[in-house]
Formats: sequence, C-alpha cells, structure tokens
Amino acid sequence: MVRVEFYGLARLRAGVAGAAVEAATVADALAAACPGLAVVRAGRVAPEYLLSVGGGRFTTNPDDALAAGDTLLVLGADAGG
Amino acid sequence: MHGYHGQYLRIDATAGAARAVPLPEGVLRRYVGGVGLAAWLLHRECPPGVDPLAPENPLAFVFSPLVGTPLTTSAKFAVAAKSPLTGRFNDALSSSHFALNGKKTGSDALVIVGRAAEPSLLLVDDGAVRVEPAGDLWGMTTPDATAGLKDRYGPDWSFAVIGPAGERLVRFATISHDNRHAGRGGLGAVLGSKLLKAVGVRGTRRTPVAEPAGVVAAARDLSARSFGPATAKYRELGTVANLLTFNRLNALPTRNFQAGQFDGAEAVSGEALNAAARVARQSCAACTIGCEHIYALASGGREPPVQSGEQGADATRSPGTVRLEYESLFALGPLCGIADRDVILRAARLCDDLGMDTISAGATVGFAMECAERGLLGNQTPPPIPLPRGGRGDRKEGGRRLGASSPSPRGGGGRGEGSLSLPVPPPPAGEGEGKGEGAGARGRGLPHFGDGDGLLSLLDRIGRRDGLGDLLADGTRRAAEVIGGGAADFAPHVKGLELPGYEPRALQAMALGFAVGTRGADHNRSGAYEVDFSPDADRRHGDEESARRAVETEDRAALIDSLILCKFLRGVFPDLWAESADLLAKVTGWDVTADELRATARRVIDAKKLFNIREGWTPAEDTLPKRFLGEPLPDGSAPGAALPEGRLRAMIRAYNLARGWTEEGWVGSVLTPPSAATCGGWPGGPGRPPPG
Repeated sequence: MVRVEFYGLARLRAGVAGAAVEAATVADALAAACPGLAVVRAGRVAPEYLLSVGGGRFTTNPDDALAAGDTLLVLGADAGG
Repeated sequence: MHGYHGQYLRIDATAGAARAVPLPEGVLRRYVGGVGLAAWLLHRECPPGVDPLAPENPLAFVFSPLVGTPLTTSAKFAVAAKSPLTGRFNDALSSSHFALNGKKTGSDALVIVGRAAEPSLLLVDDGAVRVEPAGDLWGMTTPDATAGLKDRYGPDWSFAVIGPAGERLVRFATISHDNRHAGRGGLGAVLGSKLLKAVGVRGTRRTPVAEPAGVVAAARDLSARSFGPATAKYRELGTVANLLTFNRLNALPTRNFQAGQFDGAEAVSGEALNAAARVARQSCAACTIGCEHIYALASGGREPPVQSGEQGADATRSPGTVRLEYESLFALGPLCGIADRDVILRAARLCDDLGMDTISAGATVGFAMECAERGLLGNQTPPPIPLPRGGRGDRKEGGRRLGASSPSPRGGGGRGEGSLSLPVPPPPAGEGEGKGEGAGARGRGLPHFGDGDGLLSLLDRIGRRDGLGDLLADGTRRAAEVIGGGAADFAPHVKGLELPGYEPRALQAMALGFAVGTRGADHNRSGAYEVDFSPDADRRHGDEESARRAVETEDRAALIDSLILCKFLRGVFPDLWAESADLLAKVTGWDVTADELRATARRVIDAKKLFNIREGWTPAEDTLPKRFLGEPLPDGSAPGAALPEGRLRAMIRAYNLARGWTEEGWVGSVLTPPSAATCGGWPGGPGRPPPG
C-alpha cells in the first residue's frame, strides 16, 4: 500500500486528509486516491501542486515509481508568504 | 520622461520644509524604483555611521514606474532606512493606496530627515509639505489613528501611521497604511524617532506611460493570468496553508527553533482556521489575486490581558477580526508553543494594533520563553537609549490607546527626560514550583511555552516598553547580550533580524539565504526555499550548487521588488526577465532587455551590500546562530537533520563567488577591508552614488 497525504489546497479540494491506495507510480497513486483533484494534467504535475515522496525527495515526474510503504505528499506549489 | 516624475522630495521634519531633488534618467534606468532606487537614495542621503534613531537617518518612501498603471499588484511601495534593529540596510514593501496617492504628489520618492518639535503629522499635498501637531493621535493604535485621520482629512488622503510601538521606539515597530504593514526591521521606530505619528499624501500629478494601449493590453493579460492555478493557493487558502506542510516536512520552527514539528499543528493549521474562523477575503489596492484572508476572533473568548490605559476598560475592546498570514501564524503559534487558535488571532491583532512586526515579536517572546525555562531571566537591565523630546505617550483624547498610561517608553518621567533605564523586577522566588520543562518559569510568573496569556501580556508590555517588555523591545540580539548565560547561542536572528518561519536545518538552501541576507534573516529577499523544494536538490544537505541556484532567486526578488510587483505573481511568468523588460519598456519607452534587467538586479544587490560594508559589515555577520550549526533536529520527517558549520561556510563561499564577490563576500576590489574602513562610501568620497 502507498499512503497519499493531502495538504493545503489539495486537502481543501479533496475534502480528505489522505488515503491508502495500491499504486506503482505517482500518477497511479494520485488517480486512485482522488481522481477529481486532477493533480496530473496532460501528463504533467499541475502548477499549483508540489509532490514529495516521504518528505525528503521532491518530484515533478508522474511516472516516478513508488514502493509499498511509501508516502506521497501532495503539497501547495509555493512556499512563500 | 514616462513612468517617472524625475525627482524626489527631500523633506526636513525639523523645519517643516522640502526641496525637490532631480533624479537623472540614467539613475532611474539603472535602479528602476522600489528597493533598487531606495538603495541608491540611502547611499546618497544616509550619513555613514549614523545612529538609526537620530534625526539625520533618512526614511525613504519609494515608488516605482509601474505605480499608477493598471497592472495588477503594482500599487506597491518600498520604505527604506538604516535599521534600528540591525544597523544595516533595511527595506520593507507594502501595498496600498498610499503608493498611488504618494506618487501623485509629484515625486518618485519622499525622503524624510530631521525631527519634529512635538508629536506631529507630516502632510505632502501635491508637492507642498506641512507639519501639523498630532498630540491627540499619540498613543492611538494604528487602525484608530488611520480612521481618525481619514475622518479628519477625507478620502482623498492616504496615511502611513505608527502605533504605540513606533512611538516608543520598539526596534521592530512597523509602519501601517490601510491597516497593512511595512513590517520588518523597525522602520516604524525610525518614523517615531522623528516624532511623526503619520505621513499623509494626496496629489493630482500623474505620469504618462510610453505605450498606453500596450500597457492596458498587458494589464488585461496579466490580470487574466492572475486568476489561474499559479495563484490558487493564495486565493483559496492563503499563506497559512504553509503551516501544516512545513510541519510535515519537519521545517516548522517550534518552541524557539528547538524542533521542526509541533504537536498542536493541526489545531492551528490554515486548514483548521479556514474551516472555523475565516469570515472574508480581501485584496490589496489594485490587485486581482485577493490573498488576504480575514478571521474572526472567538466571541466570548478571553480578552487579551492588555494593560488598560487611561480609558480603562476601553483599552481591551476587541475589534473582532484580523488578517493572518503564515508568518504571523507560525511566530505567534508554534514558535511560542501556542496551540490555541484564538490566542494566535488575538496576538496578531494586538501586534497590528500596536504596530509591531509579528515575526520579530513572536520570535522575541519565544526566545524569552526559552530563557525563562532555562532560568536565565532575572534582574536584567536594558541599556539606555536616547529618546526624542516631546513624545509623551499619555495623551487622553479620543481613540483606542494601548498602554497609554505608561508615562514614558522607559517607564521614567517621559520622553523629555532623555536616557532612562528600568530594571526588570526580579521574579518572586520559589512560588508554585512545578515539575518538568518550564515549571520554574511558570511558577515564577515568567513566560513559558504554551502560555497564551503570557504571550498576550508580553506583547503588550513590549509595545509599551514596560518591564521585561522594555528589554525585549530591542530584539533578540540585544536582549541576549544583556541576558548572557549563553542566550546568544539560541537567539534566533541574523544580523539582528529575527528568522521567519523556515527551519534552516530542514531547508538548507534557505539557511544560506538567511545567512547572507543584506537585511538579515529574510524570506522575501531570498527565495532559496524554492531550491529546497525542487526535485534536483536535497533540502537536508545543502551544497555549492544549491548556493549558486539561490543567487538566481535573490536576483528575481530584487527585480520584482524594484519594479514593484507582488511576488505572489511570480508563478504566472514563464520568463520573468523577458516579460518584465517588456512591461518596463511599455511604461518607460526604454529599449530595455532581459539581460539589462539581470544586470540591474545584480547592481541592486551589490548596492545593498555596499551600504552594509560602509556601515561596518564583516564576513562574520554572514552566519546563523550556534543552535542551527550545533544541534541536529529531533525526530520527524527530517530525522537528525543537521547543518554543520563547514557546510554552511562552503555554501557561503559558493554564493559569494557566484555573485562576483570575493570568497569572503567583499564586493569586488573596490571596497576591500582596508578601503571600506577608510573611504566611508563609494570611490570618490561619501555620499556619492554607486557606480554603474
């Protein structure tokens, strides 16, 4: 299982804090956890979102592989303010 | 000339007179406006070595060529002076009708020197200047003073005002306008030192643009893009969304930077605030983004324990709502161990009313909490500072007054008494000693982490310079020097400016940005966190490549702050440099290019650094407090993240070289240490504008 966690705008729009899904890639995990969120559009991560695997590594590649036990964080793109 | 008036107004508050000083087009093209032009002006107008609170220290309100155009977010201005908090170059930006009306007075900048004879109001009316008594406003909160001035002078005027904190020379006092704040570095104290409660501006003089149709078309296009996904976060949730994200990344400064995660984060998160307390969303003047989220204070909740002024209970009346940003939320919440949403909202409102920078205020209280819990607070006596004559904070008439009962900023016989100092009363010994961390502080009535009433009380005492608040009103660097006992090791500042809400050990490119910042620890002049949050960097192991990339974020900020546009727009520009050149060309008629603007940004950063060198900067200033270089973070998603000093120094070297400076950070060969110490300014003598 992969854990997907939503923060900020993503949580506001998804209406949930997270979900546990079966997925092999970032795109699969997002599609399974909250398809209506449309984090990936036309094969790219939408500009309002930022993705991190486990909080350490950031990714913009929807095809990145995930392993069982990974946590995918869906964050807001801009940290400033 | 298009986009500019081609002059600045040099105003002498002592004499109540002004003279227009020409601004050559070549200078305007090299420095554009905003922060860039402010840097040039301070080199020209600020005497080397001046006391920041002396009459001779100029305070500059600087506009830009885009002010007055229909371009979204362009109603902005910079305020700049040598900072009383850092002793270095300081600029703070804000957005309001003050920018629009200020530029319509007929000048590209207002530079104020001198000191009024009594608490006064400076009015700039279409280029004519007068100083009027304002004793009836002295002691008023910023919103009450603003409302009173609007009532008195009418809607054609805009005002920049200080609150009680600025009057009392709190070194992190703000300047408020339309209830927004030019927040960092204590510019409100500079205005207060001139005995000016407010600056009012009104005018009718507009500047033509070179291509009116082109500017309108560009404005329409930019506005349309400002409604898009790149600004969605700011519209829908606001910057408070950062809190829970940073907590998850172990990057949320907690309990005076002792941890990167906060147990109460969910309770005070932007998401929770949005659901429970948000009542409205607003925009700055001439802005289409609408990032201001307004929250309601809980009805029936605890009133802040504000010391009542001469109006008694009136001093505690709650205005009901407050605007909140992430920086205020983190500083008045997790940084002080506060998990009570309403306490944070009240604290933010109190800072706004008093006119205090929420970052420095929260950081200073958090620092005091740790000092208290370590048993370091006792009989400290703040060093005296000279106080301007005539500014007693005890006027009675009208308005809400916080702390107006205090007879003087130092608790003595009024500002007319000159240098005063007040010992902090020793805490009662041994009363109610509890167990565990902070028990001693709690038992002795000193502030401790998680103590909401203590936070509110201490903020009010800082704003009034009362007791312990008097010591803390000088910021963490000076307070640590007085407190001693190793407090300097965990005083959270760089160059005297308290750190914003980015844990440096978990965001190490940002750590570099803090260390080298010309105004101190700063998240608005360096966007190095963008490097930390990118796929090709390791935020927990900063390196030389991170440093080189951080330079680019600083350059972009320098351009945006000189144009001036809102940084929340940055995501809508596929190519900031090219689009900025196009916008500037349409406004000014110059054949400006992206490459020219890159050089301009570098020049602006060089000018700020050269100002600091002139004022005594040394490479030793470009560092972080020992805590960050010696203590790893505790558990979390960045377990054990540490920033060894050698790693930071390597990043700083890479940064300096990428800037074209020496490894140590001296700017070129012009002002190496021997000449910096002797020439006092630019080649050719002090007061000359920077080259280039």
